[in-house]
Amino acid sequence: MSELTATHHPIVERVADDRAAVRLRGPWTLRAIGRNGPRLERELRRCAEDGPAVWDLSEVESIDSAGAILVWRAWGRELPRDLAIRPEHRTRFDRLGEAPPSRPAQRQEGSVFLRPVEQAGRRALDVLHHSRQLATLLGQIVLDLASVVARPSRAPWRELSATLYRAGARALGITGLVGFLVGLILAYLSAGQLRSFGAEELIVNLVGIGIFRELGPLLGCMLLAGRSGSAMTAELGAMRLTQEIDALTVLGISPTLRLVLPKVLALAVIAPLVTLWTSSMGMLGGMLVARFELGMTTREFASRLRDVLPLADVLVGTGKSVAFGVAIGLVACHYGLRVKPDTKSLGDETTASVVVGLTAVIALDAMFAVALQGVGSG
Amino acid sequence: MSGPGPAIELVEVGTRLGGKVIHESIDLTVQRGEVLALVGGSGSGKTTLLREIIGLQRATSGRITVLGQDLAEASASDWEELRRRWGVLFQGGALFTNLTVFENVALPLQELRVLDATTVDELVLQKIVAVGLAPEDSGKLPAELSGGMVKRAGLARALALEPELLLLDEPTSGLDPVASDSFVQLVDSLRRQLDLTVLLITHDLDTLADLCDRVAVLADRTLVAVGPVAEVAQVDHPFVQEFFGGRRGARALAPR
Repeated sequence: MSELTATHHPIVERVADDRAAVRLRGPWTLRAIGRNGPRLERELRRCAEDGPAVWDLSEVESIDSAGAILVWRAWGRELPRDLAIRPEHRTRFDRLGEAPPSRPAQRQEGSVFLRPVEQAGRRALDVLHHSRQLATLLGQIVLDLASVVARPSRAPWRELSATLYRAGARALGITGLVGFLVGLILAYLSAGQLRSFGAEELIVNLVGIGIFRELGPLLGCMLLAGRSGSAMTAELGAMRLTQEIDALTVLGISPTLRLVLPKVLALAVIAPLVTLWTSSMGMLGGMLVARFELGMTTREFASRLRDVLPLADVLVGTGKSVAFGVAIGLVACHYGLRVKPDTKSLGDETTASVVVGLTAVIALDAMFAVALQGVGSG
Repeated sequence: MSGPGPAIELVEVGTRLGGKVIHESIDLTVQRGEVLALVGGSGSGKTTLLREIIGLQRATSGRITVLGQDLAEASASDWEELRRRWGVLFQGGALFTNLTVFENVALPLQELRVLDATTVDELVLQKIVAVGLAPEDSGKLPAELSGGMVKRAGLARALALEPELLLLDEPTSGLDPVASDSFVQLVDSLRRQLDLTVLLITHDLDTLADLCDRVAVLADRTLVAVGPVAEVAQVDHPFVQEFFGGRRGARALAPR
């Protein structure tokens, strides 16, 4: 091998003594070609365009399919008539003709102008579809509940208690903190206004009714939806990915009974408790502000609270959070069971679960507000 | 492109995981251009050894050299270089589930950032056809593929960067005998065409007999036998006798 041929780059050269001969040298591999692909291809094409030539590839050190494709394309996708090549390199070209040069056409998209219409239609149908599936899931849970009542030994107690702990007990820190801070903020903002009217003692009405009837249930359950709803969707989704749900089904264990029912039940129990806890912490925040901003003692605050806060308001707040809890659980499980076996779908459905869960809580709250007009201080 | 020296060299490799000894003083040399199978019982640490060779895990002691590069001394750029020179097929295929077959195979080429889009397209289709998939399959998502097609797509992705070294973790597990046979033939023909060095983990005696030049048996935390299949089958070791013995072994190893 002469010094000239020991090269680390692919080389195209026209043999000097014969204008119609082209010689390739060096390694024609993906790594050796690197960024020089377009330049080499231009050189090759220029050589090929000059009419039929003798192609000498016998000094090519090595060639892989990347190199072969470059040369092949310059040749117009066929072997040239006059070709000198090592037999082991020739096999590279044997199967090149089998693959189509470009990707098979993908599904035809509709007209650009009609696409928004099409999408709106799809969305509307999606909503119908989701509602139907949610109703089916709810029906299935009611049936499961009936079967559990008939045979209590089959109740998923362990799953229920595990969910109670994970979604409930471990949420106390964050819900308590948020409740406390919101109570504090609400009281602080109103303190100034009330003082200018000389109606300081009304702070108890404002904070007490506001938090126990509206803010406590709403905040507590929104935190539950974000915290536990997403976890439940991801858990069920991962179980879909690994075929665990299929495995449960073929073992004769109803996935809704074992997985969905305990989650929904647990949330129905947790939500009112968390609501009471969040509201109480909110009261604590309000009490502190009343003490230091308005000089109202804790005892005064508490006794006034007993006088102005109707029991109905506490019951309304706690009662509607049961409905919030069930809605969060249903939505989370519904989206979890919809996960398709790919990772992107897992992320999409978890996002959808949180968004829909939060929206459902607020929408339900609005319905309760209208329906319970005249009850308590509403 | 075969350089000097063996493709893989393990010297006195030992592994401890959580206080448990997995490997002890493993010595193994895989020559360039050969197909070597690693066999061993379940839990004998075959996959761990493979993960150490491709740098997903570090050996506790000993030296591992791959394509002339000592893994313990490799810098970040050495790793980058090395990872472009081997292709790995994981046991479950490890296809990216939200990319189509085409996008899966194209990903390593696009990450290389040296080829224009049409060349990448063409190379990807070459690979897809070369592993025996139809061009129409290229638009499918991994979830829509059969087990055999997943392995083929995984192999196409492993071959995308024109590797010198191919590492296969149980390439035929979970395939029916026909699919398994055709996969073995595929690897065999690719290996001849592309001058590949192949290290594979397998449980399948037919794969061993049809494809492999040599076999290394991992048992009792170390390699108890290394050599051509017929020789290793004669080694007097309980695992080797159980693995190759009996009618199963006789059938697979019978001269054809």
